[in-house]
Amino acid sequence: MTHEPHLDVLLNETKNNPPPLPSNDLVARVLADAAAQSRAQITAITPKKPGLLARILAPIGGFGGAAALGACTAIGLLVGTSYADTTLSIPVFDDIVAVFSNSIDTTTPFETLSLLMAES
Amino acid sequence: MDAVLDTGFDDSDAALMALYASGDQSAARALTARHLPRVFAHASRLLQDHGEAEDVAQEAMLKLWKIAPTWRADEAKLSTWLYRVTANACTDRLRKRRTVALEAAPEQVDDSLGAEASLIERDEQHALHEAISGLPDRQRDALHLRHFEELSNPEIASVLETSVEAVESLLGRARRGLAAKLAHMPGRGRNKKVNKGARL
Repeated sequence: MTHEPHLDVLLNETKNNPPPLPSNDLVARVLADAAAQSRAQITAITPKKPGLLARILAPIGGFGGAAALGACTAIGLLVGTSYADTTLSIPVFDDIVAVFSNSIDTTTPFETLSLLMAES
Repeated sequence: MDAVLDTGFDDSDAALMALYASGDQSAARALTARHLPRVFAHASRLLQDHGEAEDVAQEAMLKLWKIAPTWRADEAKLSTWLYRVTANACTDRLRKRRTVALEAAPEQVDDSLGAEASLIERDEQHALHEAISGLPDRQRDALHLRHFEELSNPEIASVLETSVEAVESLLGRARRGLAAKLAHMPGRGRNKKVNKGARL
């Protein structure tokens, strides 16, 4: 490296001048940026809060559970309306339900199921 | 500034970056206290403009906040990375300045003798900064990092993403270029400065 005393003196003078310190205003701006950036990053990685319907359906397994329940209900209604001609409840015995069917074939699984349900 | 940022943290930069990335604002304060003064001083010396230096320092720190979640300590030293970001931002601004011709404000001259010495000193400092600003970008950056930030040649090589030999070459050319520019400046007695150097 070339030795330049004139240059060295100038450079040392400049170096020995105390460097300026950041103002409190700059510090505040930098910290505000840090806070804003932090919030933006946290928002970006936090999953969205589930909606009202999703929260209501959550105990029965969410939308999948609700769909299964709906399908079962529809099948139950179909079975009930197709195979039972008359359904009676006996007032004295609240839990007993009598199912009458005019079907000729009394050995179908649905009739058996109807009888079992009536007995329970 | 110390009162604002006195956090008592002595964690490594990487640990602070991880803490900040997890939402800890006290880590941001610690990082600011540790790095903002150097970033700002570096930008001030390169740009010689307080307002622009503040803008560059804020931009550099914003880039730091943005990179925090993906920061990998094994890839770079935080201070080196910040010097690089700051130097690049300053280079962009200095290039813009060169393309925009601005008329310098007329200097006010004080006739008193005491003011004359101060004026000469200020004038010399101004001339030096002008000469440094006129150097090619990489020579200027290398010179600043070596003489003002007092980084070692390997550290400068890391900031400038080059070899130590290339840094030595850059510094040599920068000093020769600077000496030539200052020698050609009118009204500057070289002998006076050499004598001043001998006094020191």
